[in-house]
Amino acid sequence: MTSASFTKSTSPVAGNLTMGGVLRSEWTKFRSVRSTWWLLSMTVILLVGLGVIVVVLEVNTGAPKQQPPYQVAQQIEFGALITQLVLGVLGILMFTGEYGSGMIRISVSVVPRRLMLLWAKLSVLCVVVLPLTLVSSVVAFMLGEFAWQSHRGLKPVGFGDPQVTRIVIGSALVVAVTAVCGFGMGAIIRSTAGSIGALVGIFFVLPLVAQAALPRGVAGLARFLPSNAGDALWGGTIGPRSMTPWSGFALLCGYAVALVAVAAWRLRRGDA
Amino acid sequence: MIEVENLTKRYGDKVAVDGLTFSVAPGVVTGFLGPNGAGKSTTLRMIAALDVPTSGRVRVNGRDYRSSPAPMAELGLLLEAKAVHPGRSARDHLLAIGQTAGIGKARVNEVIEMVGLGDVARKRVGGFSLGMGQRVGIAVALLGRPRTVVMDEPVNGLDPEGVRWIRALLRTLADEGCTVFYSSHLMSEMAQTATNLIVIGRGRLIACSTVEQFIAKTTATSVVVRSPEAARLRGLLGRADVRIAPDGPDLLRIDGITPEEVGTIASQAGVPVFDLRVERASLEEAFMQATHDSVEYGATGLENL
Amino acid sequence: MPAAATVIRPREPVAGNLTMTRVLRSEWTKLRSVRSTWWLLSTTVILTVGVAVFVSPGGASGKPASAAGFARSTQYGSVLSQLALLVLGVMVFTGEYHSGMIRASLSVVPRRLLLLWGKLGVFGAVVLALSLASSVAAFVLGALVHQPHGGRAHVWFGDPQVTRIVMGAGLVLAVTGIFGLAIGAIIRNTAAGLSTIAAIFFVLPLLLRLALPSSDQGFLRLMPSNAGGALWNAALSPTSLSPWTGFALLCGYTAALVAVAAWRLRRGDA
Repeated sequence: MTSASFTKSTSPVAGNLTMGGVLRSEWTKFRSVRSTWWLLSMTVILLVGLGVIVVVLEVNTGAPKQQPPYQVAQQIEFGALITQLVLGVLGILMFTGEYGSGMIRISVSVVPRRLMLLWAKLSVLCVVVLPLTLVSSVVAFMLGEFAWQSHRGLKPVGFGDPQVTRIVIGSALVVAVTAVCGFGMGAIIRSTAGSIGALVGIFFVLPLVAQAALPRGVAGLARFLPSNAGDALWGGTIGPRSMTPWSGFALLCGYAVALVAVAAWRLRRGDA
Repeated sequence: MIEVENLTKRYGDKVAVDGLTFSVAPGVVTGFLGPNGAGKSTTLRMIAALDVPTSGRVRVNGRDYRSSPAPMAELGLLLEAKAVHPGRSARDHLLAIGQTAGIGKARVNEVIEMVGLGDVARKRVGGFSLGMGQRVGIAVALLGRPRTVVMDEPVNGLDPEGVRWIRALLRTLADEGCTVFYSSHLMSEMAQTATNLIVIGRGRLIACSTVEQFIAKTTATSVVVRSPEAARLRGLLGRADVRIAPDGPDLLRIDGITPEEVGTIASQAGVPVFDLRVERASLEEAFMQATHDSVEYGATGLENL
Repeated sequence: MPAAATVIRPREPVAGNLTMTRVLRSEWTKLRSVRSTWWLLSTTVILTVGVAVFVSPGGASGKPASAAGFARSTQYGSVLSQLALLVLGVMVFTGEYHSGMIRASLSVVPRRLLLLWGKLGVFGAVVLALSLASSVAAFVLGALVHQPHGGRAHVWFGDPQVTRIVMGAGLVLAVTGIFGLAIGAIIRNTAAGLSTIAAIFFVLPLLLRLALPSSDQGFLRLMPSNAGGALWNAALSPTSLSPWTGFALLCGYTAALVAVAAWRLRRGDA
């Protein structure tokens, strides 16, 4: 250690706190942790890989049936289901990672207007996740479609076919919004384990239980669960009691907005 | 400059900080003392706007810290060592923090060299030792070249060389006009480094003065005399306002008298004196004296070791 | 601070031998002294019992249920509550790795497998007792709440398959918790462990069921969640294993994971 260097100059080095600066800071935090890259690569691998594997299996085992184009598209995009979990966890870790290590106190002390921190984290997450899921989804469809039509006797499926574009784009949108829901849960709950438990419980287990167990009179309520609302957009589990595609997606977005709003309120007024 | 006014923080029934008012001046090093659980860390967190006061207010460099346009230029903070994602390198950690204030790689590298982490800056912080983690925390506090530096136990985990370095660092910062406010449990260390002191116990202010005043006010200054005729001298000094404690067969420790008076009385009575000196209490003794009623977590004896 | 006493008398030993019982006692203290344990255990009970009270017998189909079907419908809550036990199980080890306490634990229990058995013993006993109790409570409450309205004969433990279904749901719940403990001991990171488990238990079965051509779905019943679920099936179905085979398979998976955890704990760095 040198005791001289800090005396060399007293010119200010720290500039004003700006949104641009906070965004850059959040990007550095985001990219400098290994788990980010793990989760992002898993997203691409699962989103693209699962769809292609499913189609290849379908085409090569027994006698593949001709299916309507929208079903083919759905099959190719099934990876979105597990990607919801992966990116939900990425969203959760945006805040819980900092609460776990204690770094949140440094972050809040250098960004005392705390909401800037929230918006910056959210922006970084969205800017990374949305293009990534969209591109993976489209690539998955193109590869899967190639595998599908390579089999003799099966009619090719394209973006022009009914519902196909909505399913391909929609699955990506739903995954991205799920990541935002995870983000909100993490910021509210602040514990990694608790948040993942909540995410899995709400998105994956509740629909299962609701399907099996809700009394007949209120069984229709299950369609308002976040994951069922999202599924309506691309039809992961389209059923007679699902919402219309875009109203379902709007509801999912509503949940995400509500979670982020609660997170903002909690971050702003409480102790860090 | 840190101004704390009527600051109170309650957690449920428990009052952690109770109506604290003090200010920390720029240009000198101010120490922050108190027994464990006295509310030091809570106070420091409220200064940095991390915790919201139940009542009262804090101003850093004359304004509410949360409204300052360039927070990193105002306040540099060290709270806990290794508050870093274990998988992130020290360099990226500092870069991420600095970027909120437009601080780039050059300054990050400069600070990393300054705290002596040049060789390990690219390694994952998870593998750092306590002392290395502490250096990362110090680097964070210095990164923005702030006008006010607040550190909780900065010497924690540092080697002797690191401790000396911190001492020089805090003094130099103060000489440059910074407000330097830090807590420590190493009293001898604080006595050498700090000029002013703020002492709290059970969330309340006990003292706010210079180190010297604090010692003088809380403890008596005694005169120690060694003489073969100690008993006789003791009789000669036996006035009502002088308390004498025999400190060995030929030693007297006298409170409430100046060495000049002792010397004159001894010389007039012909009592030989081999040693005559003034003994001041140490900061540690003064601290024990001042806070013994407000110790939250007192240890018991060592009988059951 | 009190003065140091002079210590000249002979020092009596205070630390005894390291025994399994003592490790168990230590692990019990660790488990009960963390607030999240009580949160998750209460969640388990509330979800298991609560769903039984609010759910109609027969579920969404609305058809009059057989005794077995009714018993099964009182246990749906355990699907939700197994998540709470999985979280708790994962954190038995990852919590210590996260805080660094694992190093203190292993330094006082240098025969590391003792630590694993200690944790497994305490956690297993607590979870087994709690799961069975809440499964029985769910059935009893469900029976009391729903029977009068249906106007059918009382369904009770003597009825065919009822005991297997009610106890089975509890057993599966407990083994699931241990599955989580083993994953946590292997992966050592809360987020990664939980995600892995969520994928294995909840997402993959759903995904495969939807995505695979029906000809390939046979191996779906081998997934841990489906294998366990077979134990509290009301009726034999071609898409699932027979009850006890399924349960044995779930136990087999769990035992294999515990073995991997033991191997990893024993030979590696802490």
